[in-house]
Amino acid sequence: MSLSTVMMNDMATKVLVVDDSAADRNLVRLSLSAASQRYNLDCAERLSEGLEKLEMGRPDVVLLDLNLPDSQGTDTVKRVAHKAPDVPILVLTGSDDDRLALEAVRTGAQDYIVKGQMDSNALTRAMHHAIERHQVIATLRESRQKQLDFKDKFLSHVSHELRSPLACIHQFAEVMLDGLAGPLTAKEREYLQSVLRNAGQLNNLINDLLDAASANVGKLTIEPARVDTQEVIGHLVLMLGTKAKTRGVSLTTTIGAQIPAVQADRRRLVQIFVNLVENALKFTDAGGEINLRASISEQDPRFVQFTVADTGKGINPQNLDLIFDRLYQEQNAVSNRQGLGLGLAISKELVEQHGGRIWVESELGKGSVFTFTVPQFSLSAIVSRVLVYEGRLQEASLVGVEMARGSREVTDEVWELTRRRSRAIVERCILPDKDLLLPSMQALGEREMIFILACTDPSGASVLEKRILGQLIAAPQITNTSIYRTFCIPLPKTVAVDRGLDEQLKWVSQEIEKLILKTSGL
Amino acid sequence: MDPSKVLIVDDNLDLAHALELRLRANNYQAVLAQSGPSAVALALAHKPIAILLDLHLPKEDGLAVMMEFRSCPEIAGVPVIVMSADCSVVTQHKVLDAGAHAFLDKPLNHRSLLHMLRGIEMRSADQQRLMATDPHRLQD
Repeated sequence: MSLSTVMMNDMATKVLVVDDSAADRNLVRLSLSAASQRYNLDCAERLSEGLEKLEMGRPDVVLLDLNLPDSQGTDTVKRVAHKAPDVPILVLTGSDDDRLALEAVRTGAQDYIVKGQMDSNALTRAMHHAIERHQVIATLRESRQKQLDFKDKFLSHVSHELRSPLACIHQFAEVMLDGLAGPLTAKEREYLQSVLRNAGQLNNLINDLLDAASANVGKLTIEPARVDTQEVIGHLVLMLGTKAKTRGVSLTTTIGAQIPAVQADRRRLVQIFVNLVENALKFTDAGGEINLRASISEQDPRFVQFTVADTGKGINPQNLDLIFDRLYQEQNAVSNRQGLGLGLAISKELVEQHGGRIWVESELGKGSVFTFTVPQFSLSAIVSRVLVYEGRLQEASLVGVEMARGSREVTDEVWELTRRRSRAIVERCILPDKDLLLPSMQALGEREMIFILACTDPSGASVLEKRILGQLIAAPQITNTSIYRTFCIPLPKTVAVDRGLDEQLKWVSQEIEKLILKTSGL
Repeated sequence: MDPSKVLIVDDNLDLAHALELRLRANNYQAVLAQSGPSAVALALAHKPIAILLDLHLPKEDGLAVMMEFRSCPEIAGVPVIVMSADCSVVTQHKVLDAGAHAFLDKPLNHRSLLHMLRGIEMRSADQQRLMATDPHRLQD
């Protein structure tokens, strides 16, 4: 009901009083009958009764005593607000507890009125203010949501509008390069490759723009899994080495032999590195060097620390605080290609999403060192949430789901989607507070294993196993491209009681890791 | 043998044309449609082996167009490959849930596309062979 209909028309305002004192209820009744407007009064003595009445019909306002036989303090407000979020609450309070009343307002009540000071005017005014305030907040929330929705739609629209012509440029350049429009001269081929390369760059810029916009509405998402640190840096050198070489800059790596895996979103980790290296390339002259380094963080050994160090121009000390800001551009770039000034801001957001941090040290004329941290992959840290309850290790089973490409004709895109969708289905089958989807240990190419650590005995695990298989087979669109198999393994329970919990947990996670590696055939 | 036909539904004529060149070079015949209604009519007339559908058409939602294909018994079984520049996971799931054969990002990876079309052709050839040799299959 909108504010104007409550205030303007002749309809009686519906009021629900929840108060265990008959005297207080009468006081409200008297105050309202003296008012010029019409009120329709309903009463409840206990919170349970009040909640039942809220279930039956929506009053325009609830007058709520905080200390009821079945509920005390701000809890009373929370329970009413939870039951009827669209009904304003006016708290009735004694003269001695305005501290509690203020807290109630913070918890979700619109206003309070002291019973001893209640007369017809004060009560009706407070009630209408409560209704009005509630309405204003609801309207604000709604318009904020509308803005966010609009922004989403706008982004999706812009993304499409920008990409379509770009896709066209890309397709025709490819069509010509493949000789579909007749044979090409060497020059024509070179120019077309330049068109293609720049179209690719434009596509990356659009991606950056969309990433930055999503970060702004808190929608930049990561999907962390176990990532092999050595492998990912090797991949980066392959990916960026040629580009560095054409600029006359050497790309080197320093990686400790015992570098552990990290818990990260591989695609995003690569994105952070690419941003940092491309940034370094912009400020480093030919003959310079860019070094990628991975080591265990000295400040916090639970993290792996990555650095990208260049021998470039360095950053002016007074700008060090600004460079992670959106749209910031450092002036003395070597190349004339400036980019959008979003790369570092996006990188910062992504590092923070991983739970790490990023910073820079630099000296003018000597170069810059960008450092960021990402949590080490630790199975025991992940499984402890599920395994440890009341300081004890729980009985547990490992349930595995194996999927494989059903036929050769399944493309990589379809396979990737099948994996994602299957994971999502498996995720729906587990209880998040009891069971846990273990991060994938390594990509298996044509196969995928999903492991679930379930806090249950072997018979419970076999129920879970059957449920998952049933859901996967019943799911439309994915069964024709993949083959599923499930299995469950009871975990060994032979943990010595005299060891400490941490020790036991470490032992169990090592056992789990061994089992996973063995079962995956790695 | 006549080349297999593929129906392209995209309002961007340039893009559709580039795709047509690519398909022709691989021995497919492309049929172009710019809107949902004409796409249904062309699909009925040409019996394509697959339909390439752009998700963002000017006046209608690509998903609604796909539903129209599904509701026509003569073409309900033709695999629909949805193309979109909006490659978010949510969109991909929505499209596949609605019954699409596959989802392809724009800019299109033509190797993936050709691979998919070969797969579709092989499967339909298998089915025809089965039906020819085993008449009971028809009743299934």
